[in-house]
Amino acid sequence: MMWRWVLIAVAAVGPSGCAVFGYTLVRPGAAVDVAGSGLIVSPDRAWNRAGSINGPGKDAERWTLDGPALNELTLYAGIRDGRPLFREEDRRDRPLPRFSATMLPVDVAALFEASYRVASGTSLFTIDAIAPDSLAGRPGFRFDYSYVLPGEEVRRKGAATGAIVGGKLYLISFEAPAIHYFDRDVGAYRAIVAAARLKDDARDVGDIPGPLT
Amino acid sequence: MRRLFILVAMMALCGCTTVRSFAAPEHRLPDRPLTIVVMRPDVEVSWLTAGGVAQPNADWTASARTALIGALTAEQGARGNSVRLLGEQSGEAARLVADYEALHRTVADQIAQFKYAGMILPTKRGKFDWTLGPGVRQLGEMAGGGDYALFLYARDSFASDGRLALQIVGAALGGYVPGGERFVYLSLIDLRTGDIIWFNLLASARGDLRDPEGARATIDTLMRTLPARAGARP
Repeated sequence: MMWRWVLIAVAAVGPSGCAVFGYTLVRPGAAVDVAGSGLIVSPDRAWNRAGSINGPGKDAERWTLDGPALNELTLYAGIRDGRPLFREEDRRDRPLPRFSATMLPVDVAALFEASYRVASGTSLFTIDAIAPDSLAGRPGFRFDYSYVLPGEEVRRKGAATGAIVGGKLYLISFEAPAIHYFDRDVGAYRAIVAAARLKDDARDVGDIPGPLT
Repeated sequence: MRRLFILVAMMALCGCTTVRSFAAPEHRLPDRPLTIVVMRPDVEVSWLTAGGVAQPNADWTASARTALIGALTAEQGARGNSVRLLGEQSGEAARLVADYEALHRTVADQIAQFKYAGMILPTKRGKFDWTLGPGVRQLGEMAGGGDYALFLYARDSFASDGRLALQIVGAALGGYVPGGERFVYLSLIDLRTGDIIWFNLLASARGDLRDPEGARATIDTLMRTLPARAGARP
């Protein structure tokens, strides 16, 4: 009998589109202050933004076009020293690695890979390329990756662009199945990265230029 | 797939049989006999242990697969369409088929989550526009040509004696212990574009997919909302 009430609860919460659980619309052209961090992005098309319960944590936002398994944009907005990239589901048995403000780009890519391996349990994750780049006008880096989740046979490709500003990590990643979805939608991610900016109050003399090593 | 199983449990608890379909509103099937390429059906029939663990049964699964393919072929034949089963492939072709089967399972999972399970993507409101991409043409070419590809996923289960005993005890105590359930979905893909133009899902606590009659009843129920060839809206 309890399941009936679970169903009713799910059905009631879903269509309400509330910001806590479910998805809300991000309109094209809107200037979005990601997680209130000062990282401003303006998408070129409409996206669906995950609520705080099904999102990645308080320092990040997760957006999708067709569902998170088909195209997922994650905006990490000012991850502080000593914090994980996203919410820890099981801190005791599966603790996530922590970001350090002194990390170099290769370290950030390794942090990203290790976080995915711990969170999803995948052993099939590779960083395919790392190169210098910029985010929000700050020197930074980009890397490409690919992975397969346990229990699935879908190979996904990903791309991420980031910079460490004022000792905080700003990173925008996009991932989608290698068949069709990645190539179709990666342009939307690139448009968001190209137009990303930081509010002036996010500037800090402690910027780390992010040399590639 | 886990979300799909949660979904079927929820749907089966809400009534004996639930069927709900979605179709791409703008798509019209050509007004001529069609060739449907049927992908390798993903079928599994199990018996439920007293603890509720599904134990797959190879003989039951083979019977259900045969019965479902027979029912599909007969149903499409009655519409004047022909069915081509995509045979076993090898090498790169086998890998390509497996990749598209996996992608389709992922897309179906998202359809289940955002069209059936109550969660809504605002950009999908009033739309049905999921796709596998135009690369699916290769599947049609492998089959020797076709207009649409049909994916079939079916799970059927039957309660063991121990499970039945638990159901009786549960009922006597005023509780509910789920028994056997069947869960089937079909999706029709336009082989020119890769777009999923129709998707129908059935969840039921009744029936038997191993039996040709049970499989026919299930396929006929699911196919009832397939868009008509003459361009009528589903």
